[in-house]
Parts: sequence; C-alpha cells; structure tokens
Amino acid sequence: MKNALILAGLLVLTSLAVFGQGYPTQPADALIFPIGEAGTVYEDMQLGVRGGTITVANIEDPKGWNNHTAHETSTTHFTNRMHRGLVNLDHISGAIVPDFAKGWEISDDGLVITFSLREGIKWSDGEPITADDVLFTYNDVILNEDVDTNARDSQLLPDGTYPLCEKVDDYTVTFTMSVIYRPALNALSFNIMPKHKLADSVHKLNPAVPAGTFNETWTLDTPLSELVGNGPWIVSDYQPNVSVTMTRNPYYYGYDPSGTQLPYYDTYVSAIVTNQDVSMLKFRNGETDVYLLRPEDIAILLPEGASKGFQILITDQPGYGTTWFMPNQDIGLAEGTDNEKRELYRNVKFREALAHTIDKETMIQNVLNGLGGPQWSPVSVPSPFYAGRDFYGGPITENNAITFEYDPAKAAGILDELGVIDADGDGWRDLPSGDPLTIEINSNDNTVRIGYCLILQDDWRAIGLNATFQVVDFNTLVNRLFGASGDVIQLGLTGGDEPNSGANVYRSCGSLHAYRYSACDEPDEIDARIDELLALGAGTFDLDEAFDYYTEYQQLISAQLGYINMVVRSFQYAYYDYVGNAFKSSPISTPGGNNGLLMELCFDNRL
Amino acid sequence: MATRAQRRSQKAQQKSEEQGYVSRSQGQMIWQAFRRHRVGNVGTIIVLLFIVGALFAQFIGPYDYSRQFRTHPYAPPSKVHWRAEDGSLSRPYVYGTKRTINEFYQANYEEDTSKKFYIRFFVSGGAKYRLLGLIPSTTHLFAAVAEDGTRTEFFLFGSDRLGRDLFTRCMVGSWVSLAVGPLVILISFPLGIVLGGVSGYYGGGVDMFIQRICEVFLAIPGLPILMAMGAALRGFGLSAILVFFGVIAALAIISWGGLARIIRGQVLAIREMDFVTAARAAGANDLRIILRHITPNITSYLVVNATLTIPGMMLTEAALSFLGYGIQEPMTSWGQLLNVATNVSSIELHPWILIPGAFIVVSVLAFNFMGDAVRDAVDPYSII
Repeated sequence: MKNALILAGLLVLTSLAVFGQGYPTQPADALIFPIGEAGTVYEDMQLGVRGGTITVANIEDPKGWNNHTAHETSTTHFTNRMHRGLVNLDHISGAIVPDFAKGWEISDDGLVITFSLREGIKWSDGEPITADDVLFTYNDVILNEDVDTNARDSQLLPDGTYPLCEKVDDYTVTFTMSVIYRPALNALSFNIMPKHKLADSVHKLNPAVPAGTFNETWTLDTPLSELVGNGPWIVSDYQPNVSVTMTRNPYYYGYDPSGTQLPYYDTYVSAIVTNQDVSMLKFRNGETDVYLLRPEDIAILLPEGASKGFQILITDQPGYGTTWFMPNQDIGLAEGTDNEKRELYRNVKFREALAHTIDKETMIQNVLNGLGGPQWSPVSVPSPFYAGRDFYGGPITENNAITFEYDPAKAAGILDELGVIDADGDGWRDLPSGDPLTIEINSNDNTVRIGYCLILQDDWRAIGLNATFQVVDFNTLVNRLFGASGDVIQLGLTGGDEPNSGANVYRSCGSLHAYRYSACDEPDEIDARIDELLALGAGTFDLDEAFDYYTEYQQLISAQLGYINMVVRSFQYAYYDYVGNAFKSSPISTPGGNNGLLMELCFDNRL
Repeated sequence: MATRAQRRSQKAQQKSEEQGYVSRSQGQMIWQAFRRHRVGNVGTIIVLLFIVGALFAQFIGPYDYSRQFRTHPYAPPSKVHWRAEDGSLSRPYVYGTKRTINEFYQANYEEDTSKKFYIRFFVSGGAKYRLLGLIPSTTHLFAAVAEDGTRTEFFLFGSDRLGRDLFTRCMVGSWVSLAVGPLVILISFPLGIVLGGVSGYYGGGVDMFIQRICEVFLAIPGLPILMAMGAALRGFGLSAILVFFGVIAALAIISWGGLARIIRGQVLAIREMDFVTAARAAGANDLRIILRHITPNITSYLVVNATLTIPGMMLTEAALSFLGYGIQEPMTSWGQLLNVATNVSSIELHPWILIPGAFIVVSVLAFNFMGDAVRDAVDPYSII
C-alpha cells in the first residue's frame, strides 16, 4: 500500500514535469518580493532555493474549504493560503500593499478607488484571472444576502451602504463609495474566488440550484482536485485528525528578485494535534519546524535551543489586542437599583482610583512569565496609529502615554476623598451614604484571565474594597456585557492596525460600548469628541492627519477609563535554524492566521 | 476490694477462658475483628489525621490560603537546614529567598544566607482566622522567624503561580475533598434506603414503578452530566459555594439508584425470613417491622457501602475540579489544585504542583483500607 502511494506520488511528479504546468517565463506582472533590497523591510532576508517541506501543527481540523463561508480560523488558516485579495497587509510594516492588484488610484474627491489587476495571471487550474472574478467575489458572494459570510459586515460604510464594485475592462475594477472612508481599503483585501468554478453554485447566477447552495460548496466532501485558488498553496491532501497537506500553486504570481517563483517550499504540512501541549512537544522533538509559543513554554524551550538547533524570537513589544476590566457605569439603570453605586462608577475619579490598583508588573511576571507589556491605549501597540509613537508608523516612544501608576496608597487616598470610607468599622469601605459597597468581578474560565482577576481582587481587598471574584460561563459573561447587567467584567478584545476597527466598541452608540450603553442617548462632551475623531480619522487619506486625530482619540479614551486597560502578551515565535527567513516572523499575520510567518518566503537552507 | 458479684463474674470468665470460651457482645466482636485488620488500622489512622488536618486547616497552614506572595511565584519547597555552618546539628532553619530570572526566562530562587529564620512552633502574629470557625486567633502551627522577630516566606510544599502557599492550600482544599463524600451520602443514602426499602418491602406495582425510575438514573452517564451541571450552574452566575453544593446534589442524584437496587434486593430476601413472619403474626405494623426487624439486618451493608462511597466521590470531585467544572478559584480542592498540572511545561518546571495528587492518592487508599477493614469486621459470616 505504502509503495503504491509512493509510486502514485512519483507518477504525479513526473506528469507535472512532462506537461510543464506553470508559467513558461516569469509573467511581466508578477508580484516581486524585494528580498535583500536595501531600504525595504525585506532587506535582511535571503534569497532561497525551491524544494522541501515545512511542517507546522494546528489544534483543530478545518470545517470546510470555502473561504467566505468559513467562521473559524481552523478553516481560514488554509483558505487564506489558497486565495489572495487585491491588497494585503505588509507582513512586517503593517502597511497596505498591492497583492493581486498591481496598484490603485484614488480619485481626487476620495470616493473612487481604481485597481489595476495583474495581467496574464492564472488560477491554479490554468484558467486566467480577470476582473470578472473580482466582481463575482464581491457582488455575487460577499454582498449576496444568500451567502452566509462574515466578510459582508466589514464592507459596510459609515452611512450604511456598501462600495459599488464595477468593471472598467478585463484588468481594471473600480470601487465607488458614497463617503470618504479610508479603512475601506483594508476591507478590500478580501480573498478572490474563481468564478468559473463557483458561479454555478450561486443561486443568484444559476437559479437551477436552490438558495443557500453556495454555503454548501467546497465542503470537506468536495474532491480536493476541485479546489482552485490564486494563493501560494493549494490543499492537496487531507487526513481527518491527522494532517492537511498543501502543495505549491504552479500559477502563483509571487516571485523573488532573482526570478524564482514562490513559494520556496514544495509542500506545506499542517499536522492536526489535540492540544497546545502536543504542539509544543512535537516542535521540541523536531517533528514540526515552527511553533507559536505560549508564555509558559519559553523557560523549557529556550535552554534547549542551542543544542537542538532552534531559535526563539522574543519581542518585548506587546502584540495585538487589548485586555481590560470595566466597571459597568449603567449598573442597575434598567431596574432603577444600585443608584448610588452607579453614580460612583460614573465618577471618573473612582475609576482613576481603580486604575491605580492594577499591579501590571506582577501580572506580567506571574501570569505571563515576564512576556508581556503594560497597555494604556485602545489601539494595539503594533498598529502604526498607536499613540505611543510620535508620528504615523514611527518608533514607539510612549511620549503621549496616559498612564496610571500602580499605587494602592494613592488609590486609597482618592477613595477617602470620594467619601468611600469604612463607615461601620467592618473592615470594608462603604458608599458615601454609609450603605455597604460590594463589587463582583466576573471573568470566564481562562487561566490567564483568572490570574489577572485574582491579583486585581487581592489589591482591591487590600485597600478595603469588598471584592469577590466569580468565574462564569463565557456565554453568560458575554450576555452580561451586552446586556449591561454585569458589575465589573474582565475580558479582552482582538485588535488590528486600523483604529476604526474599534469603532463598534468606542463610538458612543457602538454595539460593544458596554461600559456605558446609555452614552448613546446622552453623550457628554468627551463622548461626542471621540465620535467626531473616529469619523475624522477615517475620513482622510492623509495618514499623518489621521494619526493626529487618532492620537487625541486614544488619549481621550484612556483618560475616560471606560475599559480600564491592563497588560498584553508579547509575541514569541520558535523556529529551527534550517528554516531560512523565519526570523522575520511577526504578529501581523498576513492575512489572518499565518502563524506569524510569511511562509512563502521561508525556505529550507539545508538544500 | 472487689464486690462479690465482680468476683463471681471474674471467676466465670476465668472458667470460660479455661474451657476456651469467651463471651463478647456484637460490638466487641466487630471491634476485635477490626483491630485484627492491620492495614485497615493504618488506613483509619490516616483518615483520622486527614480529618483533624481539615478541622484545624487554618491553624496548621501558616498563611491565609488566598494570600499572594507576589515576588515568589512558583517558589520551590523551602529548603530546611539542619546543620549550622560548622556542620554541627542545629535547630531547623530556612533562609530568605530572592527570585532572579536567568537568560532562559527560568526563575531561580537564591538563598540569602546572611540571616537564619528558625522554624518555631505555635507562633502567634500570623494571618487572622477563626479556629473551628469560632475562636479568633493568629496562632499558627509553625512559622520561620529570625532572632530579631522578622519572618520570611516558608513554603513547605512550594508556591503556585500567584505565590500562594501550596501547603496551606492543600490543607484548606481538604475541606471540599473530604466533605464531598459524607455530604453526598447524606443525600443519596436516605433516598436509596427509603426508595429501595419501600420497593422491596411492598413489591408489586410500587416496586415496578420505583425500579424503572432507578433504571433511568442508572442509565445517566456520570461525568458528562456532572460537567454539564457544573457548566449550567455557573451559567446562572451562582456563587462558588452554591456551585459546589449543586455539584454535590448532582453526585447524589446520580448515585442513589445503585444503592436503592441493592437495598431492595436485601429487603426482598429478609422480609421472607421467619422472624419477619413472626413479627407480622405478633401484630407488628409495617413501620415497626421495617425499622426494628429489617433495617438492623442491612446496617452492616450500609456501613461498608458508605466507607467505600467516600473515596469514589472524592475521586469524582477531583476529576470534576481537575477538568475545571467543580470548585472555582479562589476556593480550592485537591482536584482543583491539580488543575494547573494539565500543562506539560508547568509540571516539568515546577514538579511540586503535583503534591496535591499525593493527598488524593493517600486519602483514597486510606479510605479504601478502612472500608475493607470495616467490611471484614461487620461481616457476620466471617470466621473470627
């Protein structure tokens, strides 16, 4: 059996060679990664050689192969390698760079973006890719109400309309918007799908199939030979619970400066493992080549690196996302209870007192094993708009940081001033009226979050706040968050480069403005200014101007202390020395879930 | 001066011993048999030690169980020194430690040998607690105190990731771990005895009905239901202590069925015995027959079942808390303490976090040995 398989594999390989799949010569419009070119972020990378296999581990099986109907990263991890969009986020700088589009032009009024596509590029089955595929993907898949996709929401403009996608010629498309909205460009990184393969399963285009057929297309039952993409790799083998194998796309349009078609590796194997521990052990045994590690792994892996021949990339810079706790400023509002407690929570001085009780250093040392950093802004630290930089994309200086140092005595002093003192002598501070004050902190069952909460609770009790901590089910926690029915909730949010991706959180009427939903009906001056700054930042294509708006926005949010920020994990990555260019792994996963590596630029340097 | 009666009884005993006969009450015989079971005795002593430990947990543990020594996360068990610098025997002492991080992000605890902290017993001035829940006290069994009265962290079993003393947490964790068995028995036994007894005694339709209910409860898969219950109770946002009682109720509800079955079988056999027929002929009512004639005959079975149920329930609670569905932080139990040991890295770097596992193993073994001994002792058919 095994021999037969090997024989079959050899036959496939020889047939590939005989029929000469792929471009005969490098296409004129190839996407060239400027490896080794001075002045670019690829400066210190090396030209590689083709061949070999790179192996990684993933925790979950994919649920299908349809990129736009996938709701889970275990699926998009693979589909994002099969498909590419018009633009992409640069792996290292985070800037928006051309991908399948050669470039784009923005009209003078800022409302029309014109993309020119790469000509002569083919799908992995040899069919040409044209503007029709882009239009199909945008108009018939993403904006099609019949298709169950997450991608539609991110296309929405602030005025509730969608950009209008039109074809100019076979290699030019335009997106026309009703308002200037710079973040729309990020959303246009959506993956392009092959019209010739999928049009027949869209009810709108082929009424012969029932509505919703597209949602059932490219499932795990689909023969893998049916899958077609324009990305660097195509799924070629899937063994449930064992592995997913991807083979190079002979028609991928990425090249290195020396004219070698990318990716360098022939195959990409993702072993499916039961949990993170197995993932770690597999890397340790040399069964996988790269590993995105957890804080607790570092002290085990680091000492072995030299003898086993692997490196760990340790950045002290926090990664994407935010971690916070929020006193619910609407507590009891609906029922008309807890009136005094609500007034207290709404007092920014009280929230400042709480902000002074966060022992961020202990949280980083004891919960994150020293691998993290304090956080103060609602924008993720790696974002070029992070206000800890002095200008757009500049180095992190923290010159503009609004911080509240850990000082329990100061916090106690503020509470005394507010009249939150122990009136009845039971050892716990009471509300100014003398009624007892009890605080319940909620989080879900997550080791890291429980660690943060226990440290926080301990500090609150130490200054006389009667705080209890209660782990609740994740859904309950989310219900309490959305229903404004919690007391103090500790959670985190994912983050991105564009501050406007947090508009649903920080705009006064945002769906996740959970610390004070009532701000939508009665915004104060600061709320109004925050709304205004978000709109101003998104409404300009001048990045420096946007940066100034966003800096003021971040400072206002941080001083307002709605979500009171805590700490963020930093990014670590382990790779064996023989994986060339792996040192350039970064938390910016291009696009979504690339395990921190720009995998198509890695190569086996033993070859 | 012994009385005449005493002298007579002594004489009678002497006489019967000479003849090879000893007269003992049933209780004496059980005790005698129990004493003979050496392993069981050891088990019983260990069980008693655990119970005493749980009752005085806050006194025995040197700190408050939720106290965080923030500069001492994952501190290894404190090294107790027995010898002075010149090698002569000394009162046991420990040194203060300082945490440093090496280039591999590994924590190292270095001893500061400039000051000795002697281990003293019955030291006051520690964490406040109420002895047996009543008497306020600050006295703890031991503490590491220097000549000048200053103290240092003394972790007999090391500390966890937040710098909490594992020894104290093991002692406090025994409350839940030891209480869970008896509490479950308190609910499941009355249920099982009454329903099993009624079922066996009256038979017929009643029997049929109760037995079918029993089967339904026996068919419920244990662990998944408990996990679902734990998750659901937390979904309601109940406090940790209510979740704990909820889990106990769930354990009881799924465990009474088996007991009811066996009780029914025994009652079924006993109610046909001559002495029951005699009692009925003498005009005794059902209640009297059940309580005075049948129940004493199944007591030995109940005692044995109880001693063997306790370790089973301890293990179930441990499994549940280990999986994160039982006791919640900051309260703790042995199973919950083991929860952190689900992680390969933690075990490898901090092996002392497995110590609570030893508590589970030892206590379960001790309860099982004790149960064996009790079973042998109360078995009326065993040869003494």
